Amino acid sequence: MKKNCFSIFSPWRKYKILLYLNLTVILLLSQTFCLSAAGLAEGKSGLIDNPQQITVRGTVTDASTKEALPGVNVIISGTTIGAITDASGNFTLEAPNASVKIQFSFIGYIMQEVALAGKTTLNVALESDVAQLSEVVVVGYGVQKKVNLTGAVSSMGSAKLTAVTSPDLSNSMVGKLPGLRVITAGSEPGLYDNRIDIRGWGTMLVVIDGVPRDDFQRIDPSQIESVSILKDASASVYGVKAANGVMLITTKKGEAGKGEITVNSSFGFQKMTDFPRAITNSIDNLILKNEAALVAGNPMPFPDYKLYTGQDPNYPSVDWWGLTVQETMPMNKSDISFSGGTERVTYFVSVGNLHETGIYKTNSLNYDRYNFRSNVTANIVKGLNANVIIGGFLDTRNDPFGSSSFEFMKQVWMQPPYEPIYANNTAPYYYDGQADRNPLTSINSDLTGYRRYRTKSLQTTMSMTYDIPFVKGLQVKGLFAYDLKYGIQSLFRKAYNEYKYNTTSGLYIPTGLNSPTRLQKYFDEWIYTQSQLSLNYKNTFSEGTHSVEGLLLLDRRDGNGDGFMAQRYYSIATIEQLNAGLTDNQATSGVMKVLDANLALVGRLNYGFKSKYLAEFSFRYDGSSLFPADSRWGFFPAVSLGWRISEESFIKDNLSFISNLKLRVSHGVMGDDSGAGGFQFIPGYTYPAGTFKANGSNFPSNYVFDGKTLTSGAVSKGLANPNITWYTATTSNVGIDATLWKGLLDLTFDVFQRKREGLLTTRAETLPSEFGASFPKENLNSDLSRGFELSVGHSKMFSDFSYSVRTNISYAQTRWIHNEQAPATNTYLNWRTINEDRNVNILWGYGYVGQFQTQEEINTAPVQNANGHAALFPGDIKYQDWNEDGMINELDMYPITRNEDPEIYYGLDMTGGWKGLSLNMVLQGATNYSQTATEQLQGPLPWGRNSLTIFLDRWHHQDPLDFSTPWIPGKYPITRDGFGFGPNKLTSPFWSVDVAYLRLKSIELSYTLPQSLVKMIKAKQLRIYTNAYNVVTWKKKGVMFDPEHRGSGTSAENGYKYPVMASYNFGLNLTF
Amino acid sequence: MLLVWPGCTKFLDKTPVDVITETAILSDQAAFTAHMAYLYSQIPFENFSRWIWLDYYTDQMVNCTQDANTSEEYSFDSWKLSYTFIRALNNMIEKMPTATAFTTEAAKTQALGELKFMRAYVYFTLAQRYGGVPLVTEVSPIAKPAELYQARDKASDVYKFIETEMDEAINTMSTDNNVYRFNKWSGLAFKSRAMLHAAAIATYDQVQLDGIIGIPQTEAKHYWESARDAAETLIQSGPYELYDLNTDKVKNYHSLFFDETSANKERIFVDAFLYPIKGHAFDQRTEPFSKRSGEGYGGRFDPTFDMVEQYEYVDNRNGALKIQNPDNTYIQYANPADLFTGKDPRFFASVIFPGAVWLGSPLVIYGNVIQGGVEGGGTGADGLAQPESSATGFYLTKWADPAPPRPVMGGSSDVDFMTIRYSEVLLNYAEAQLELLNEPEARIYINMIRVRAGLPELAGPVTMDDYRKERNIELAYEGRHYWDLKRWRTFDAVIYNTDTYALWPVWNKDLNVYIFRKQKLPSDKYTRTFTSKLYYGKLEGGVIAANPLLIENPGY
Repeated sequence: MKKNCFSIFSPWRKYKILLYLNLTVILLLSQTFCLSAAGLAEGKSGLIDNPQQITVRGTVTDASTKEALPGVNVIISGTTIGAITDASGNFTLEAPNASVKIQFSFIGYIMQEVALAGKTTLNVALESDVAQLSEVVVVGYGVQKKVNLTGAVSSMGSAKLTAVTSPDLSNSMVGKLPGLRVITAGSEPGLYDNRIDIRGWGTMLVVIDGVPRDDFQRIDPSQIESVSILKDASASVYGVKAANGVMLITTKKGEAGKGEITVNSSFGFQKMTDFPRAITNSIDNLILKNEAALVAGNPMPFPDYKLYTGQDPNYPSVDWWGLTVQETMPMNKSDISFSGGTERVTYFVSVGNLHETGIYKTNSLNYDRYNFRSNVTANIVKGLNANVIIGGFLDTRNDPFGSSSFEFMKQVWMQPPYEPIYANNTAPYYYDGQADRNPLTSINSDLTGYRRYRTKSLQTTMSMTYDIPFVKGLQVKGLFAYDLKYGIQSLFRKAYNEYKYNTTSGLYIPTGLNSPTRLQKYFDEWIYTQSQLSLNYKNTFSEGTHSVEGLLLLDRRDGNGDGFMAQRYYSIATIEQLNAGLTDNQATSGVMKVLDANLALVGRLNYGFKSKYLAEFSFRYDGSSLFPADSRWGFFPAVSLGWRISEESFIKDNLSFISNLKLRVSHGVMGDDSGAGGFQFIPGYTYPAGTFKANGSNFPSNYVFDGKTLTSGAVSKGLANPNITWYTATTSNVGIDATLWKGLLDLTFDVFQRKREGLLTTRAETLPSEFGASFPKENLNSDLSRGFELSVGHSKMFSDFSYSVRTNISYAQTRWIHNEQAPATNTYLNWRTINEDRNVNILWGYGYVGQFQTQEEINTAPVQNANGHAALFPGDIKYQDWNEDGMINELDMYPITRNEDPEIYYGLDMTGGWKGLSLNMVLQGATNYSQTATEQLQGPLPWGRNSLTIFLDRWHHQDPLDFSTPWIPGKYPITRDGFGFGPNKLTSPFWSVDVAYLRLKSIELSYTLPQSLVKMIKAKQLRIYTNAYNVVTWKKKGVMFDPEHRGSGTSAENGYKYPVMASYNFGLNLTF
Repeated sequence: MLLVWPGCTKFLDKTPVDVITETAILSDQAAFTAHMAYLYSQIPFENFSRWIWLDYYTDQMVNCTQDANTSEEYSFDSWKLSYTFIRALNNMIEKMPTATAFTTEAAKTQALGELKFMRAYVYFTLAQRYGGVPLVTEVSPIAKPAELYQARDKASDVYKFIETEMDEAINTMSTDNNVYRFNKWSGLAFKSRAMLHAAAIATYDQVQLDGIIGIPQTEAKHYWESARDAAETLIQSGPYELYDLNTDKVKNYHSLFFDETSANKERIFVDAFLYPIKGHAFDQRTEPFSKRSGEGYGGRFDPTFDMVEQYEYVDNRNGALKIQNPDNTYIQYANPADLFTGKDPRFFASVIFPGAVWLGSPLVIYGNVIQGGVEGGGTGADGLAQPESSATGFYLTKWADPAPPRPVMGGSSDVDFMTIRYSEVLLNYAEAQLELLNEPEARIYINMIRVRAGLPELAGPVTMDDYRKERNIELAYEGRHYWDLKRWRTFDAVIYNTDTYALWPVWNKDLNVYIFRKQKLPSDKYTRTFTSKLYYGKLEGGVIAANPLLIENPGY
């Protein structure tokens, strides 16, 4: 009877467990909510003994192939007693009595329930479920069968995620979930720069294991079970920050059965994608400089340019890029997991490591990450389950102090090749050139110090569920999550010298940089807690005719942060410890950050009639600490309806090729408190006051009253808005799901709109300046987003060959409904500036009608700029005289294109398998956006230094330095000094290029070795794979660089952002 | 579950940790002081904190990145900031009767005096820039914008307000000589400055826009007397002396700006800096080219050739530089510094020049080189004519720290700025006396300044030009000259299509000697014109749109 000890309770044991149950629940409640829950003691009954055990055995097979099915879940209905079939499809379990029903479920097969009816042997054949009608999808606070979904939800399983080896989890999602957009803006190790959103809406809410959390991109894909995105009113049960949609990540759990160890290890390298390069030899550079001088009518500054071959130390030619940047960077990643369990306790434990190196040859830029996760579920007593998930990561990013990657790119692009590496060509006297730093020093941590960013994150979730006896399907659940995160930064600035050489004295003249040596340490702590207490009800009546599900949930979130900084200077630069620093001028600062708190009551009711008519009603009564007590609470309802037309007899009987056809409609309102921080409803004085701005510079709001001590200022916060409240997002969605010919064609189509009202902004009406204060932010603006998503899939299985193809395309556009702006003073300005009812992504500029081909063409063109035609040459940009007034000026601007946010985003996910071989390919692309060149991307010789190689392809004379020779056309205008020539740089399609691209985003080929071979090494499974990311890119002609690199798209970054990487990996996956 | 609801909602009442209530400001001494710290930081003084570069809009100096248009529409966007400041002051002045954050009644009286003086002073800076402005002396509750419109008051009313309020504050403030905050003495000093400005406006300017700008000439005498009386009270009863602690006159004048001890009795009001928690960038901005740190900058304050010639020789009132022989050939100097031998000690204490020793080594400045008898291009380690080096051949060294934390960076300097010093008060007094036709009395004080500087006394009668030249030199680059040119209405005569000249050293490498040329700087950048409309600034962008009752100044 040993096996059954868990279900046989002595009175004392029973009492103890009851006590434990009550204590736990009370503890949980009192910790999570203010009061203990008095009524919960009624959980005391329901622990029923039953000594009549029956041993049941059987085999599960595939109904069509007749092959044994390993891994099938076999469970006694209504209990957690169960087993899993072994490699031969066999199972054994103990049934409490002869009248139970037993469920057989397996992914990709239709679940079967069989009454035991006294038998001890059950052989079951499962029907494959190509239409995946039984697929379960994670939704807000629960799971739902895919067929019963009434909201716009997309999901994916773990296999799709692990087909990509990348440091960033979001890279594994690209192109696979309709409506999810992931743009790789840059790939700097440890920065996680991807731009991710749902339906183009901005930062989404990410919920990991039921709790809103940060840093999802750092999770190891091998730890994830599934990912869902909620795109419409189905997100509204999360409220508060869910107006941009919700991503739900569920991590892996263990499964009952024999323990498994899985080792996954890969190594590979990264390589930058299309990225601009600077000229690497002096002669090319100096020809441009001489040409620019000739254009300006000046003598050539380097008539002896031909001598700069680099052979003679007095005439250097240095390839700075080649000296500083490596072309391939190693990356490796490995993880090991243990999983398994008994019927009562299951576990999944995983640890992983990732190491990446950056582009500097010094390797001073690198990143290391350790992930860990443990997920344990225990069935404590019948009906009572507990789950503890502990996940987290430790990571370290090292960056040389000399320059950030942004500063480095800016500098290495413009570093003149005719400057020597060393003063007097003698190491280690790094030459002090025109740039702030010699590029070789700026990437060297040993010389300049480092910036080290460490993060330690711990995310814990504890939950208990209890099936309330006597009420079938009623369950109470308590959840408490405690997330702790530390950010520890060490910024070590090390003094060093660069040199000039004095030929007369023979001395090296140092320029001190980074002086004095300084160490700054930042320590930040964030704590988030989340508590949920919920009642779930799920039942069916009249033999499945009516299915009812209900949820009532209390949800409380709270966040707090704290931090401080300490700083000391050093006379000895070798000991980078705070205690070794000088006490003179040491500084500390600290800031307590109060984050927000939310409290909500959530309710949801699902009703299904014969799985044909489906309805869901939900509400959220939300409170936020960001608003004053009077306007803090909001009630936000949502409704969605589904009609499974395929269940109607007129389809079922007549059109049998339709396996599933469903129409969905949803509509909901959500309150969102984003942007409402800073206690805007509380008047008072901010202390310590920050800086104030006068004439474009910042000045401190503090004062020295005695010549010795600084007194921080206290500044009025300005006028408060006592009525500040939620903005609302009203989301509507209409969708169709169709599965035809048992999955040969699968289609989902959604049309959506989201209207946001009450967005915070400042009133356009202005108070007179003499009033001395300005309007606070109010809930005034509104906008409207609309779009659609289409996803079409096709899959087919043969005996040892299967493939599936799924493509998706999404389109989204947002326009202002109301944008608070001062009224325009005339009709032209009204058209030009007022953007009410206008798309938000309009880019204004000048029409581009080509480049001038000849001087005659210049002379007869409309007046192009304030200088008339005086300074123009063939090759210069010709603008459209849009208003036909004979001259080009601001009045000729019109909407020329869209900004850098793509409106259309598409993906194609293809998988094929033959025996042990499997191939996965994802193509992804986007269009309806533009990429704008700025600063060094828009002109040669910035600050009179170097140029990007693109500007060699320019209009020039046959002999570039003899202006009497004929013109040779090129892509860019003739060289001018210092960023080129203003009139050539106006915003126009010449610089703001429409982008469309398609990219082979990822490809993976893997081979699972035959069992016979694997058994020889006593393993269960061995899979070897090779994969690549960002492999090939097809882009529209004229797109200058990597189409995703957002550095080249915004004036703020001017292309200096760290490049986008492609990666190539080899790995193996071994399970014991 | 609903049972737990009501008790829970309280936890949404989060309290901001960085916000002090007004009650605390008025009742807690430290909180009140914190608010005072903010208020003091808002006073629009032209010092290191805000507008030290004022004088490079004048003939005194230029910036190496100069753009000829920079003098256009000078108002420095002070309107909105000033009225935000005034609202805070009005609020405090209104609430002072209920304030309890003081241990003594005297402290409370002093605080109210400081608040009132601040308000009077900010109105003075507004009147200097714009002429008459709306006098707002109460905190209005929020209302429809149209109900809050207020027109500009007449300049003479604004100055009357300034005078009355300053007097009221001076009469109640302490006689303790705390140089970091307003007291009776600094009140008198600033009052002499404000009244001198009003008097000059009444004397030299014209009334326009029905009195919104300009003061009737009939009021001139009153303001000259008011300026004289304020200065006189301070001279007679105040605790100040001209700084004269070093026998070496160069060292003395230079130290005047660094001596931050109580021995320096010339300090009346000081804006203090503390490295590294509160620093400024003056050294970084003025640094000679070869002494710059990796952060760059430098060469931003370059005294002009003409300004250098304004400095007298100790034995000759004509300060012209001796660069040519009588036969128009250039004088050759083995040591370039010899060109300046015999200049006013204040020159050596304020300007560094080719050959001057600074931070241990001489500055190497030349713009051309003669080699093998042929003159060609070439640049010394400290310039000329390269980016971020001096444009004129001179760098500023007044306030340049002889021992700053090296290398200097933005925010690494902590030399205090004397916002007003005794010397200015003496000059204010002398000017008022000259204007009131009491030359002998004026001469005494002008000569005090000259003797302290190391120059011989002037024999009488001292002319207005003598006085103005002395003031120009004594207070050079301190931001005063800019306002002097405005109030005397001489700006458009001094800066009218005015070229800027550099001292252009040419190094004869063959002979290792220097010759010097006076060279015009490129006119597209350095030839400037001050048009008469610029005497009053254009109202800051947006303020007229926000208040239609405001009238723009003439010419804009």
